[in-house]
Amino acid sequence: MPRDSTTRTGSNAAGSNGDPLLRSARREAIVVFALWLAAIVYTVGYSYTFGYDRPVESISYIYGVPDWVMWGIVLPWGVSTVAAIWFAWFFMTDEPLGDECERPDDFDVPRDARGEP
Amino acid sequence: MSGGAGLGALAALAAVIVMSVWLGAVAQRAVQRGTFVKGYFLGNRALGSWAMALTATVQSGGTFMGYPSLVYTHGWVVALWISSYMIVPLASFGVLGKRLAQLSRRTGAITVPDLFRARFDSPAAGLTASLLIMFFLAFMMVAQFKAGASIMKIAWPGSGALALGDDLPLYQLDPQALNNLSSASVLDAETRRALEPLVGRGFASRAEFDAALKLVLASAQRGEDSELRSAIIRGAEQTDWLFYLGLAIFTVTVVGYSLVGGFLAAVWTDLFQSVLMFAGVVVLFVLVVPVVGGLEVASRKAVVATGPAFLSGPGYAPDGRQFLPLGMAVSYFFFWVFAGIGSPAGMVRVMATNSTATLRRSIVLLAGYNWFIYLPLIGICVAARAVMPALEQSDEVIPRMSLWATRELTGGSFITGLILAAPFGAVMATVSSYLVVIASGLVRDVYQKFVNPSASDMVIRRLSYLTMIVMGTIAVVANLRPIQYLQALVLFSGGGQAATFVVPILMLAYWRRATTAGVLAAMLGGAGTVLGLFVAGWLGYGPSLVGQATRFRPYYLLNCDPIIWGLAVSLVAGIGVSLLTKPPRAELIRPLFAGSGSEP
Repeated sequence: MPRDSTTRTGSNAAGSNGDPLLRSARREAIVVFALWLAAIVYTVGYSYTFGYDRPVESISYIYGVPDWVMWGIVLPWGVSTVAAIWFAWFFMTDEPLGDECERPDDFDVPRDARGEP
Repeated sequence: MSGGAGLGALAALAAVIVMSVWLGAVAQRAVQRGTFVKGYFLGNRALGSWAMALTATVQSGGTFMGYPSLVYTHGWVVALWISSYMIVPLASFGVLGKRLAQLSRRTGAITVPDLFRARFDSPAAGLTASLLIMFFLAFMMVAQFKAGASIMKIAWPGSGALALGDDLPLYQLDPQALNNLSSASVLDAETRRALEPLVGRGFASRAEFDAALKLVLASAQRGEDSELRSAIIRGAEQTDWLFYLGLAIFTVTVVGYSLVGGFLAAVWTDLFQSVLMFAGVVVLFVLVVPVVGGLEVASRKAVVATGPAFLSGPGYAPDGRQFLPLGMAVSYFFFWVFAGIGSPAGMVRVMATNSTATLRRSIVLLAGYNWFIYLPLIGICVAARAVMPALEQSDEVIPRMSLWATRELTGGSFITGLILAAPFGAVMATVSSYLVVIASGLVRDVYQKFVNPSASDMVIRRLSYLTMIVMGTIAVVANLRPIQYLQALVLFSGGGQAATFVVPILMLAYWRRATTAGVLAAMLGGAGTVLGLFVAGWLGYGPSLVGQATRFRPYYLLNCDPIIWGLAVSLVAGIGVSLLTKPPRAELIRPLFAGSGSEP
C-alpha cells in the first residue's frame, strides 16, 4: 500500500523544503514518462522489426494472434497493466489536497480587496 | 426484413435515452448543493474512482466506430496504432492528477482557463486558453452529432440495417428530379437523353456523382459545363429523413439532460455508457470468435478477402497507401498518451477528484478496462472481415457485426440493442461533456470575466442554459448537410488540444520559472503548428498515400502526425520565451509551490 509522504518526509512537510505533494507528484510524473519511453521503444521497435512487410507464410499464430502482435503488443500491454497496478498501489503516495480556496465567484475583485497577501 | 432486431435496437436506444434523462435529473438535485458555478461546472469536487477512471479519458464515439473501422480496413497493424493505450491510465492520472487537483483547490479554479489565469495572474492567458479550447471542442462536437444521428438511423426498423450495403444514397437521379430539371429548363432534350443511363443509380458522395456526370455528359458535349453539373447535383440530392429525425431526437435529448444536470450529468451518463460498452465488447467477442472458428481461421479468411498486408505492417490498403509507416507508428504512440494528458475536458474531471486515493484506484480500474476493450475489439473486427468481407460503410462494422452475431439467438435483439446502445451512449456522453466545457468557457471565462464580473447565480444559470441551446442549434445547422470525416475530425481535435495544452499545463504545474509570455507562446505555437499542417494538407500538399484515406488530411511532414511537430514547437517556444522574459514575481509563485498554509 502507498506510503504516506508526510510521515516519510518528517519535518520537511512543514514547508521549508517545498511542498511534499509537489515533490511526489513531480517524481511520479518522471516515472510515468520513463515507463512511456520504455513502452514506445520496445513496442514500436519490436513491431517495426518483426511485424512489417512479412510474407504471410512466415507468420505463425499464438492463440490465434499473429506472432509479432503477441510479442510486440499484447505482451508489453500486459506488462504495462502490471506496471500501472504497481505504480498505483506501491509507488504513488497519498497526500491531502488542501482546502478549497473560499474566494467568491466574482474573481475580478482587485487582489488587495480580497484581503489576500 | 424482420423488424425484430430493429425494434429491439430501437427499444435499447430509447432505454438509454430515458436512463440519461433520469441521470440528468438526479444530477440536478446533487448540483443544487453549494454555489451554482461549482456545482454545475465541477460537481462540487466529489468524483469517486469509478466515475473518474471510466470517464476522464479520450473515449468517444470514435472508440466504437472509427477505431473498429480502421481495423476492418487495414488489419492487424491497427493494434500498433492503438497500442499506446497501454500507458494512457498511468499518463492520465499519474502525471498531473494530484497537482491539478491541489492547484485548482488552492486557486479556487473551476475551469482550466481559471487555472491559467490564477497561476500566471494573467487574464490574457485565461482567455487564450478558453478560446482555443472552444475552437477545438466545437469541431469535435459537431462531428459527434453526426455520429449520434447515424446510429439512430441504423437502429430504425426498416432502415435496412440487416441487409448489407443498401444505405440510402446521398445522390440519386430519379425521373421526378429529371422532370423538375427539364421544366426549370436546365436540361434540353439531348442532355436529358444523355443522363438516362444514370437514372436510379445511387452515389454516396458528391465527387463520385460528379465524375459519373462528367462521363455521361461528355456524349452531349456538356461534360465540362460545371454549372450544369452542379444544377443536376442539386436536383438529385436525396433527403435522408431518418437521419434528420435521428438528429432531432439526439439533439433534444443530449442538450436537455446536459442543461439540466451540468457536469455531473455528463459524468454519470459517461460512466453508464462506459459500462455498457464494456459489456457490449465482451459479449460480442465471446459470441463472434468461436463462431468464426477462432482468430487464426478468421485472419486467414481475412487475408483471402484482402491481401497479405492484412497481417503485417504498414497495413492493408486497396490503393497501396502506407497506413502506418514507422513515423506514423511513433506518432500514434505519442498521440493517445498526450491527447489524454492534454484534453481540457479530462483535466476538468481530474480537478473534480475527491482525493489522491481516488486517482490511484482510477489508474488500476482504467488499466483493467482498457485491456478488455481495445484488444478484444481487434479480434472482433478481424472476424468481421472474415464473415462480411465487403462492407461499404466500414464505420458500421460493430453494429452490423452485432446484428450478424445475434441473428439466431433468442433474445438476440436485446443483445444487439445493448451493443448498438453503447456507441450511442458514448457519443451522447462526449457531446454532453463538451457542451458543459464550452458553456463554462463562454459563461465564466468570457462573460463573467469581461462583461459582468458580479453576475448573480440566476443570470449565470440562464446564460449557461442559453449557451447550450445555441451550441446544439449550431451543431444541427452544421449537420443539415451531414459532415464527413468523423474520425479525421476526432484526430484533428485531439491532436490539436494535445499540442496546445500538454506543454503549457506541465509548465503551469511544475515549473516555477514559466512566464505568461512563455505559456502563451507554447499554446499558440502548438495550436498554430497543427492548424498550419492541416491547412497545408487540405490544400493538397504532402504525401497523399500515408495514413487514413480521407480528404480532410494534414500534411504528414516526414511521415509524422502533426501532433509531433505541434508538441515540439510548443516545447521549444514555451521554454525559450520563458527564459527570455522576466521571471514571475515571487509572491505569485510562492503560494502555489510552497507547502500548504506554512508560508513564512
